[in-house]
Amino acid sequence: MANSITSYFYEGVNKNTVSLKNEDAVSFLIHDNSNIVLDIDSFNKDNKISIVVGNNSFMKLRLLVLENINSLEINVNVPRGSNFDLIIADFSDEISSFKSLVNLEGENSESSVHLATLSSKNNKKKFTVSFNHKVGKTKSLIDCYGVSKDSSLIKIDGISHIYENAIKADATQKARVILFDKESEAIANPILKIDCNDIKAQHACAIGSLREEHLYYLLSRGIEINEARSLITLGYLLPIAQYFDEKESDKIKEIIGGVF
Amino acid sequence: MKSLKIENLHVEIEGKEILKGVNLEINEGEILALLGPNGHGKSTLLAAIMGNPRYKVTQGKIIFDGKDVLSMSVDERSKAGLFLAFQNPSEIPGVVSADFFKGAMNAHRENKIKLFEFYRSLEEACKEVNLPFDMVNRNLNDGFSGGEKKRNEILQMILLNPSIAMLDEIDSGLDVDAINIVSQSIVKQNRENNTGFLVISHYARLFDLIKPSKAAIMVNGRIVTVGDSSLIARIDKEGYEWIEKELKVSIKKEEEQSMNKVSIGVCATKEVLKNGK
Repeated sequence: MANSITSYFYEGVNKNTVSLKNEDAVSFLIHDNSNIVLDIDSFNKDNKISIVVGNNSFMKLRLLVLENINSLEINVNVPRGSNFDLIIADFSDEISSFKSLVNLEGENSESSVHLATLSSKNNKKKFTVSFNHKVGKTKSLIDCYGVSKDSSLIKIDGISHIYENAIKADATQKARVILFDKESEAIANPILKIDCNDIKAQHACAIGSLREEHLYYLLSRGIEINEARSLITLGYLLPIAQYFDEKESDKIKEIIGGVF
Repeated sequence: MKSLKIENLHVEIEGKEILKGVNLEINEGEILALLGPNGHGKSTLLAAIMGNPRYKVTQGKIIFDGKDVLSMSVDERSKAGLFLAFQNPSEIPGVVSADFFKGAMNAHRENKIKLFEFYRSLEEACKEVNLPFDMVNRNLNDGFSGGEKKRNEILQMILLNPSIAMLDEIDSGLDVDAINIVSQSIVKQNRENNTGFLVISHYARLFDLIKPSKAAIMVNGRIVTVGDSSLIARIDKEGYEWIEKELKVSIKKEEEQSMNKVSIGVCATKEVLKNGK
């Protein structure tokens, strides 16, 4: 039996919240000249989201992931003069497979993916964030922060593909993962596929252990080890909260504060 | 009166012994100047007292207020009343200074500090060390100038009000005005709260301003002499050579640090290696 697809249409300037519970797949269609903020607050085990953004529109999709997810796939088409931002605050125990693909199809289209993820116990989290710069004067940003503790794994693949003739395309990838414990693991693969000259592309990737001198500095002021670790984690992941409304932002702070 | 006693302390780092039997005592209310040539163990002593995990105490005792400091964790040492102003304070991106200060102050109290009291204390301390109050919203030491970092250390000392404060070259990187501000805070803390100070500095200017009651000289990982503040004036005038003659101590020269092994790569490295060229 074919999976059912639920479609949502949005236009104008507004903010909406959608649940993916009991949905096999959903599509969001954004009209031209719209400005939409969409929150997804609950998920199925397997989730498929497709988004078509209208011309000269702006869309921000915010995901606060607190439940375990097998798979989450997001495909987005961004046309001329439009902007799509994807914000993911992941504090679930498990995301086996996260894949996002944003096609920048029109000139002056822009998109960004901001990810903050916390992995603990022996959980494995895998993220693949892809951009296709199909035409010129397009801009993308991948900005990922992760904290891996216990014997967990965070894997982040960033793929930016700049097509032939996509002159003046601009792709940036940043990934930073901090390893809290000896058994913690992280893999970051920044991949730039460039088939065009006259473009701008950069990537920065840093994976490292929790710096002992940072911890020592905090401890030397009387802060207990768990609180010190929590403060550092908060500092690492909290910037994602700025993209959310106050209620979700408080929730994120509460979760990070309670991790240690 | 609380006192910090160091007895026959031996400390090593990465298998190399730095402190070779240090004996020293400092009481609350005293200001003790710790002098000595570079690389002879002054900072190591302060780090070992505070519990820096890089340093291993192999022998000896540190007793503070009758308690065994070596059996305490780093945070317990702070809560017991010890404070170290670092020579190179860590920059910790993402940790907001105000959150850190609040966490540190709460760690030293039974009941959590009220928000109004916290901001009032912070505002007063900022004013005292001449740091702009909006600094508290910045990440801890991140992007601070050398002088701002040092004044931030003194600000934390004021907030935590320790029994014994150890200052590791607090005057390095400070201009004349900032040295005056910092020394005024030290004197105030000493007079009003009876805080004892163990102060490392290479410059007589700071000592002129804070007027230590005692001075100790560390050479080759040992305290070779303890005296009054005239020792500071003599070292400022004559250097350390007289120690060799009068105390019959041969001062070891500072060893040159070997360069760490590093590898510098670029994105193209993979492809170059793959092609075997």
